[in-house]
Amino acid sequence: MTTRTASAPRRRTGPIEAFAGTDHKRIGLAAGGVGFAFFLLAGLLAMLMRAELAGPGMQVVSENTYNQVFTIHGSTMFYLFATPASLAIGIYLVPLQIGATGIQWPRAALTGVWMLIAGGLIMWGGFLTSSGAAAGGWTAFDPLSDTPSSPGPGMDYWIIGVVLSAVAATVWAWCLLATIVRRRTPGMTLLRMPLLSWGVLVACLMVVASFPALILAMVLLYIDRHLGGVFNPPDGALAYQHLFWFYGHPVVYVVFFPWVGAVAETVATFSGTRFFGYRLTVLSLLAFAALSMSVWGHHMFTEDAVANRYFSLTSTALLVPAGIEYFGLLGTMFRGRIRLAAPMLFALGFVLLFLIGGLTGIFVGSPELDYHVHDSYFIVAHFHYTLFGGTVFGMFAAIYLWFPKVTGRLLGETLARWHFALMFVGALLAFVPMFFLGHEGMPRRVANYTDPGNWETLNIVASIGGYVIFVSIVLFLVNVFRSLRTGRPAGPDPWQGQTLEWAAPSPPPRGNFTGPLPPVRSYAPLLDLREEAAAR
Amino acid sequence: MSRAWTTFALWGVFLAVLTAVTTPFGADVYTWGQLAISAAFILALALVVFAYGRRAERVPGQRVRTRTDLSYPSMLLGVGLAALALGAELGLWLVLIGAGACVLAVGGLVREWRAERHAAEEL
Repeated sequence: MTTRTASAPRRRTGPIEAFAGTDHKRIGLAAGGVGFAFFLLAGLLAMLMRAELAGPGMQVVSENTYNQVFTIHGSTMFYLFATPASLAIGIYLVPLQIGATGIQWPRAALTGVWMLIAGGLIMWGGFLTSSGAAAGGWTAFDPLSDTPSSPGPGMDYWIIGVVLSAVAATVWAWCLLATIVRRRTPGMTLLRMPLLSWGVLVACLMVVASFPALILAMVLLYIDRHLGGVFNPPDGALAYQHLFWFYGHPVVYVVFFPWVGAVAETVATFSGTRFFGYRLTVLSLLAFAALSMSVWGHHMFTEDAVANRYFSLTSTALLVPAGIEYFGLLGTMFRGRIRLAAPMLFALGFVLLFLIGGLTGIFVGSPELDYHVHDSYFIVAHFHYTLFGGTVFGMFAAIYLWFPKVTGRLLGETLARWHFALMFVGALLAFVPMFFLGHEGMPRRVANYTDPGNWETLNIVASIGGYVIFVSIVLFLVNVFRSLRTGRPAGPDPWQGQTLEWAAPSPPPRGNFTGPLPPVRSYAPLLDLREEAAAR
Repeated sequence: MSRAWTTFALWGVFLAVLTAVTTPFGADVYTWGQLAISAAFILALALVVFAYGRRAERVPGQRVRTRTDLSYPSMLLGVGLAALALGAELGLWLVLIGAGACVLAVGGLVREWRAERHAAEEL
């Protein structure tokens, strides 16, 4: 069923109105903006942690405060930044890419934004309580999170914050799934959707299948803390871990797939060619998502209470769809004429850094090797290459690609290149030493350590890397504020884009498109038009 | 007819296969239980999408959508739900405030829906 939208003329947006709009673009910007603000806050906590770890002994914070800081850092990154940002890009771009005038159930999506804001404030509000914020890690394993181990309201605030953010994400996922099912423009079959929309679709499937497990775990944990009797020994801790990791591993891919799609489109656009192996990549995304729903037990290898061989098999099998996607990215570049603009640089950074995360995943997918590195800094390094290399580099590729569409102005290229260079070098400096630290036995989640020889040096290098990343983010913010005021006008299609959003004005008006849409005969309708014009 | 349901069904089948593969490995009840529930849920969702596709085919044509630019009740609902949740920690007073906010928000949403429907009819 096709739709038309009737709406009032556009007018200036105030700060409150920006967070009360029912247009999918305002909702997407609000969700993404809130997520990015939490990313900056969590980044400040990371700087505090790196200052403490730069040398042995206690320098900056107490051990209890350190526990709170790393807990809120990880929780903020996952619950308040990565998940919201990964769905926010879908809320903004999916309707544009599928030729829809808006998102399905926009009021529910808007309610989700406010639940995220409230959830984040409540979680961070734990710092203001007498007992401090939650200190049980972003996983809040039982019994670390039970009342005797984590007394006081900070842990309860954390649980409430997690529930609110998870409900918000689930609501957005339903809205996006319904949008894709119900609001595609005529001709836009699923196999003509751009890869970003496919990444979002797959992420949303994972959200609706796995996030209820987190919400259930949190509700049960809250009941256990106040009434007891839920996660009792001997199997209570194991039950909690099963519930948590059934959410906890899929979420890593929820915050990854949309950016794979964004990077795929960036690579295709800046290679000036069609994406190589589109259909196989779509199929691999679906297989990747299904497999990643079945690997959570590799977090529990050392429990000796799960089917290690099954989870090792499924974890290792992830290499197949991941390899197909990498093959598609490399094949696209191989066939194209590459333009090394800022979005492409970040896309290449994504490809290289996520490869490190993926390859070191083989270690933790193998029970024998995982026994050696479990709960060590090796794990911290591994997941930072997947999350920072994957999510954050993918996010910046997407920001540089679509900033002109969203604002109508181009970001400055010189500052963008400095941003990329510093962030790439910073990511290597900050996280490579952690592999060595973990291999040598430095446990994660410690504020203090005794230096057996080279740990202080490795930690100093990691801290320097962290500060370099911080500087790169400052450069990005300067670039954004400068470009918003004095950036070059972008026009509707500054990059020679391939997908429908580039047929809309920049920024797109309410209703998205001002004229008739180009015919949709493939996943790259604008490229089709250019090729037809060239052939004439 | 839209074939969007096939994507959901394919993904549900993937999950069902992964559930079946747990059997020779002697997986515990948590492992196959969680996988089986998610597979069944996604397959049921595929059925819903299939049914929607059939219905949309029977009722073709254009539909005019009107939408208010701003929705303060949606905002209030989010805040009200958060207050309800936080009330579990801070006390009944906040639960009551949250519940009141939710009631007001739902009333506002109903007004918005009715206004939009009237506007659509006028168009």
